[in-house]
Amino acid sequence: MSTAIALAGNPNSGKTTLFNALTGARQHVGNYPGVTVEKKQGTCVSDTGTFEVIDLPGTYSLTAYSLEEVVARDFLVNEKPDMVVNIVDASNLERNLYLSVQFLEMGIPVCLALNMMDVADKRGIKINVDKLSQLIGIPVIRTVARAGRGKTELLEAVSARVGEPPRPLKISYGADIDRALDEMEDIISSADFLTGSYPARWIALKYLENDEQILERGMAQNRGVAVKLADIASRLAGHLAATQDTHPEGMIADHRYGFINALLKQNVVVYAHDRNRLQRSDQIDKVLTNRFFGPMIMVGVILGLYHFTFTYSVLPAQWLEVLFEWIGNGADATLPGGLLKSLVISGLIDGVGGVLGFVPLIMFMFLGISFLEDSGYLARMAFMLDRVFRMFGLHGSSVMAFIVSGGIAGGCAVPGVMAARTLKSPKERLATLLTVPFMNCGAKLPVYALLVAAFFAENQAQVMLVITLISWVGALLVARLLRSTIIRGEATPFVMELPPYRLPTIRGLLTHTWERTWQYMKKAGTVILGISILLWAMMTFPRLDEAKISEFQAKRDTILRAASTGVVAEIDGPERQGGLSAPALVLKESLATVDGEEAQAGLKNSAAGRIGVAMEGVSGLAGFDWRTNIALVGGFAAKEVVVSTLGTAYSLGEVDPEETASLGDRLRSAPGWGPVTAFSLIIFTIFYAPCFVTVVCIARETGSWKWAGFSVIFNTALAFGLSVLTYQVGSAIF
Amino acid sequence: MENLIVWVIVAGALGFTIKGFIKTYKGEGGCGCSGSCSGCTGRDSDGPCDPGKMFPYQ
Amino acid sequence: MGIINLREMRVEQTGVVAAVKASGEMGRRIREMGLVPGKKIRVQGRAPLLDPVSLRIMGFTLTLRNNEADHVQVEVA
Repeated sequence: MSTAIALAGNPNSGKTTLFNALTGARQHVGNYPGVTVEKKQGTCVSDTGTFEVIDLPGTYSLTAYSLEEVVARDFLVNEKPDMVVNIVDASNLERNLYLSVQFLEMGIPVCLALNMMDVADKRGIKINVDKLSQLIGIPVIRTVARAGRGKTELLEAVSARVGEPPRPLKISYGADIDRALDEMEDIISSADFLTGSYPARWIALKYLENDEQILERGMAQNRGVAVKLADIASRLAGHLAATQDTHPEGMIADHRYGFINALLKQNVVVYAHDRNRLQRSDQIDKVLTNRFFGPMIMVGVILGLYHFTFTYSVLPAQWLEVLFEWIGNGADATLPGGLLKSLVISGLIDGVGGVLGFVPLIMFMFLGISFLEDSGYLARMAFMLDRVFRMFGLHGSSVMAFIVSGGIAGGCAVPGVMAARTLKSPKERLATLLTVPFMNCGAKLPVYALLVAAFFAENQAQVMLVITLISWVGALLVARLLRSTIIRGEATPFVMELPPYRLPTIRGLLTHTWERTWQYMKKAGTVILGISILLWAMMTFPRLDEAKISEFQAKRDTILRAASTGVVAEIDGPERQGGLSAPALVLKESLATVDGEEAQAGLKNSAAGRIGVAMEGVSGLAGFDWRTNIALVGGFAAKEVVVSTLGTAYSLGEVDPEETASLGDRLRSAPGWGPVTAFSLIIFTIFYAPCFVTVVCIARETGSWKWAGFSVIFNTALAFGLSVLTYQVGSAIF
Repeated sequence: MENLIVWVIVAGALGFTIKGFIKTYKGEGGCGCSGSCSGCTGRDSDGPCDPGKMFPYQ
Repeated sequence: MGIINLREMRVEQTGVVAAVKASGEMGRRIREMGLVPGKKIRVQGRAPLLDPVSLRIMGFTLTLRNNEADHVQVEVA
């Protein structure tokens, strides 16, 4: 028999840390039925017993204004967990109690976990826990979730308290409101109006607060009563407006804080210093969000991150290259020539291997991003960029969606699209989710890294920065464009808490970094692997017809016949000391050239090759040859496929099959490739159609395939236009 | 014989990929970029699959 | 002593919230973060483009846009 507990509390209160401390690895994430809010559940097995734990979304209140709050509220009312553990940030007690008080008013069984006691101590905040517990009538347990302290006491308190029917808290909201509440409470009780789910007085309170959800339910339940209650509410509103120039909802909020304040003043809390004096974080912010330094530092931080990544990932990347070369040589030696060998070498090693080769770079990038996230700097970025974003029809919170999608580097557009849910205005939401695919997601990173390393080796970090800036500016401009075609909606408020800076823990950093790196590797080993094999097949079949093969063989025969028998014997026989003689080398080269031509012809003849060639007429304007075309088409499935396909294509069409240069080197020496082509390809990759998974996600989030289709067509058209521009102008200048 | 192996591998890849596409289309599918994020196993923070990353250390 | 709009406050200036003139969701959000009459606040800083503003209240740092701050009347020394 397990006890069901729900964790609730403010964001930044340490709720997730406590959830992890309780459930460890026994957790999973799903969705609340019917809505797109994440549901985190887990099991806690302890000496005190077994607990089913649900981590409710972090909220500051329980209004009906946001989906998260409604979901939390409904869960508490419908599922009726045995106990709610309200995590309260001890260093922020007053504001955190605003939510606690609402639980108490709802008559829900609650225990308070007074978390972050260590932070409170450091700030000279002394809390009389017993007094607090006594005054609000529920157990209050000290915890430091980060260190796992207080867990046992908390579970014991929960177990002890389960089963006791709670009395709803009654707060006085001033004479006028109290009178109205009494009146409404009587009506509600006698009519049994929704009283199965909620306490009568609470329902009355919600009517005064204009709570949309309750109003709706009330109308459905009993129209007569609902109208009567709404009537009392509006009379009160009118009265308050006339006499005190205020309204019920405002007064209720004011009085709640008044209640909390009065409670805390009874020797519950003692502050050693002025609470509002500058903390270390605020002093740091004076510099980091400074008018002049702030933006510069932001760009500097990103540049520094790229520099760090490119510098320290070089060595491990080289080791991987050596490893792949060794595997390649082994395959070359052991496998008999033919399809299987081609599959393994060109499809797998040169294909997927190309993507896996970037794991060190990805890992370092993730390490840096994790540091920025865990430290709290990203909230500052949102703060600084909000005004700019608003000018383009977005929102400060869109910054988060952008970062998650890879705004700095290495994210995924899918959670970015989902992050747009928090934006109320349909304009902001749509503009955000249609532009997050422009970011440097983890899949595009190998593409950029490959091209940058091959063609801009001297300035890798700077070019990456330029790429990032182009992505952001492009996203903002497109958002601006979209905004002018979408109907205006209510603006989403940007009332945000700036959490204090934290020094990330090594453990947290390594965990986050490893998780994401592992996901990248997993994707490469499954999705990318499958697609690479398929593309290899498409680049191999149909094979050259007999006639063509004979043609090439004839060419080879001609060359062989022209050479003397001695030289022929030389290249056919075992390797001689001192290498081959000059005429033998010439012979070998001529034969190799024919081989290369044959391979290329084969590639062009294949299904994929034909598609690529067919597109060349148009793609040539942007500097893309048929091989690049194949790669870009493959990129619709997943962006990493661009790298793996280029790897396979240049491996299959290899002039010298024994050449084991890296893909970057091959591109550098390939005809038609140069910095301008590379940059044009980069531009195209930034903007063109999102990968399949993202497109599906956009369709689901917007509820129709219209916008998903738009993102494919519009993005690709835009990308092509910009690439052509880049290539044409670039070629003219350089 | 060796060609048979190749065909088996290609067929397997095709099947796997199509299955993956269908799974994604239906909205299931794993976490990260290989699915539509409806079945993520979270840890300290849900890693790259965390839509609510606005509040870094919740 | 005077009552001014929160938007007009200078950095480092302190005051006490006198009235909050917002309603609906905006009003709710502003109030639940503690901007209610009687609370002491101190303006901590402004973003590079002077919007949003960040302020200290009840021991934490809150940011809000100027057009949201417009709803808040503050009594300053």
